[in-house]
Amino acid sequence: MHLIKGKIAIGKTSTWLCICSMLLICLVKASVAGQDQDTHSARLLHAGLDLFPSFLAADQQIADKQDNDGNLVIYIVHHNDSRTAQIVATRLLDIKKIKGVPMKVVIVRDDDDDLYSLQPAGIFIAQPHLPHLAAVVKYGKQKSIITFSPFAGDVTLGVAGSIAVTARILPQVNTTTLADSKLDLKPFFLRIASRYPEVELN
Amino acid sequence: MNSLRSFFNRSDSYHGRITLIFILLAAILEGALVSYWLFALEPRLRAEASAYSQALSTAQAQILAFEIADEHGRQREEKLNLAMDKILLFRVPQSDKPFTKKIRLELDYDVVDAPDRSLDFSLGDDDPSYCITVPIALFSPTSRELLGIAHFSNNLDVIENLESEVRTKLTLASALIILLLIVVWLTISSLNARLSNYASDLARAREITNKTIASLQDARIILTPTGNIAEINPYSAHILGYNEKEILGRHLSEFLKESKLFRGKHLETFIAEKSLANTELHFVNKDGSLTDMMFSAAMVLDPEGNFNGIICIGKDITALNEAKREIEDKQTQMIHAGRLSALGEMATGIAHELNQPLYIIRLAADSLRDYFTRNANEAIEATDVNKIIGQVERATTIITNMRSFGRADTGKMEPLNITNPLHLALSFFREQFKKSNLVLREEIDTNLPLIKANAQKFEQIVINFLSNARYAVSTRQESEGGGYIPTVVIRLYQDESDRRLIFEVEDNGIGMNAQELDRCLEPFFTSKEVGRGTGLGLSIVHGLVKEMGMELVVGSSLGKGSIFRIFMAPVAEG
Ligand SMILES: Nc1ncnc2c1ncn2[C@@H]1O[C@H](COP(=O)(O)OP(=O)(O)OP(=O)(O)O)[C@@H](O)[C@H]1O
Ligand SMILES: [Mg+2]
Repeated sequence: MHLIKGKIAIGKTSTWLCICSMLLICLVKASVAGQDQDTHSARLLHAGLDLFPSFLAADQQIADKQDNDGNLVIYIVHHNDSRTAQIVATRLLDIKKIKGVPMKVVIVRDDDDDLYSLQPAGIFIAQPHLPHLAAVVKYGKQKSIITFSPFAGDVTLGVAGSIAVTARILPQVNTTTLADSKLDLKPFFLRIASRYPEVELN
Repeated sequence: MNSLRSFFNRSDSYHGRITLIFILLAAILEGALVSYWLFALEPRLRAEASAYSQALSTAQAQILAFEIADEHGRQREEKLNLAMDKILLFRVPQSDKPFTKKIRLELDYDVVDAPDRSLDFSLGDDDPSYCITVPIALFSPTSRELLGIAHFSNNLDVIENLESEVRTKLTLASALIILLLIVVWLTISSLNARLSNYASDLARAREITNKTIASLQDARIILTPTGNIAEINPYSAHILGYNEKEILGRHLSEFLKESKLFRGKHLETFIAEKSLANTELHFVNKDGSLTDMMFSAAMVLDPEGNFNGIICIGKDITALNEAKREIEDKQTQMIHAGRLSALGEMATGIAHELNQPLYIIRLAADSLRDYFTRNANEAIEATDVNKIIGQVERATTIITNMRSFGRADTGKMEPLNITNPLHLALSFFREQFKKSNLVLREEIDTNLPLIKANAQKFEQIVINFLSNARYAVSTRQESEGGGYIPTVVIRLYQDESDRRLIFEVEDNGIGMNAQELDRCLEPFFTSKEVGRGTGLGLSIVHGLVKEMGMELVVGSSLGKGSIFRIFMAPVAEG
């Protein structure tokens, strides 16, 4: 009898231990996956930062998009990750000029309507899965400026420029958005850019 | 034999089908391999090769972008050329062929600070065949602007090697598969051949068994567990006079006099005892006659031991039974004959005893007649004496006959003129025939050779023939009357060819049917009604004829008449 009781007790504790350890493993795994997700996004962000200036330079009307002070204002849009937005801002400012016109970056939240009053020449999305991405895209189209997001999938949601990562990294354009926003990119640039939606080259 | 051949044909077609299946299988497998190669493996290899060459070229292009972007450096063109040359130097390790065969630059002179097209170099092989050309974007390392495009023509030898290697492996695999298929096909073929051999052996064995069973003159009936006929061999159906279809499905007892067989209680006891051995059954034939069968039956069990049916084997013993009955009849006849011969002996004794008183009566009657003659007495008594004498004479003949019958086998054989006993015998009949209006014609040759015979015996033969003939013609006369002339012809003559004497008695009486003709010589065979004939007459004749070394031939036709003929060898002359 005693023996059996003891066994049951052991069984119970071990069951609990099992459940706890499984939960722990799950949590760790999830966080690792989250971390993976974060590092991947960070990499995309850096690759995007490399390519974003080429988009701006390819915009044939970029010279007309200076603000009253003669600067190219670039919006860096995030939702709640101002730290990353700050890093992006610093990196972008390394390239001081686009086509000889000085650059100026402004960090904005995607739901911050007031800041849209400025005169931007381009938009850089600095956070994946932006909740108000649609509004940002719409704004970009209205202003006829490039909305750029390095994050996978955003090009399908309408951002004008992104990156296509396969064996190499190529600029990617959403041809529909380009047409909608009356953006005129250099043909040279379009030749090497990957397109969305994909065109059958027959 | 036919069924055997068709079986072989079937196995041939089966073999053909198997071969076809194998050929199809091989074709499908080969087709699958080829299409896998063409539509999946090769395109993937090419895509992968192109991806790798793009990645590699992208890395190499960085140095070109760097040189182009270096606007203020001296000898920019020279440095760019050198960088391109360096890229063209790279080799594929396995084949030692250049990795990049050609590089062509196409720059955006809006961005690059140089005279138009001054830097659009093109270096390397001018005819880059078997290459994959990938456009690589050149970005400025400082301003990140797009400087232009470098077109890399990369060697496809790498994947060609890989391709040929994979192709060899695939070909080998397919060859192996085909080999395997051939081995399996050969095995199946040989198994099939062996199987069809077994099958033909089996078929032959079954045919022999069936033939053997069919040739057995036995009834073979298989019954269902309830006693209904499930199977019957042609022989049984034949002896019962039915065709198989009329019998199948009906209960066995419907065909039996013993109607309770394999029914109710009997079936239960049969099942309990499991067999029925040598039971005599009586089948009612279609025409109503009976077939006697010695019957054995046994239960048929299926492999699980369940009662599945009854197999019955029967032997037709009708003929046997008849023979048995006949023997029994003969036995009673023998007893009868024994009694008769005792009676005969007694009669001979009586005849002898009666001879004395008859002799005395005769003597007395003679002297009485003499007395009346002498006295010329014409009174009624005188005619009475004559009557007495006549009757005594008749009684004497009867007794003489009886005594001769008794003496039959003791008579001596001597050469004699056969006409003498013949006339003696005829003397008994002439008067009778005349009285009854029967014609008796005598055609007796004279000057015939002597015959070795016994006179009494020959006489007896003649008497028997004549009495039978008389019976035959008078019976026919009774039934016909009218224009019928009952005639009996007696002939005695010598055969021209073999010198034998022939004695024959021919009548136009009732004649005999085949069965009667067949049996008329048998002792006690008679067609006469009970009490009128003993059936011994002809059998005695037969015995006498044999005894005297003569030959008897009987011919008859029912309703037309009969002829009895005796052949006798004449005594050798000299
Ligand atoms: N001349 C004949 N014509 C037709 N049938 C004959 C003649 N002679 C003999 N038979 C047949 O042969 C049978 C046998 O004859 P058999 O003389 O042996 O005996 P039976 O005449 O019947 O008797 P029994 O001689 O004692 O009077 C006869 O019953 C008769 O059927
Ligand atoms: Mg007779």
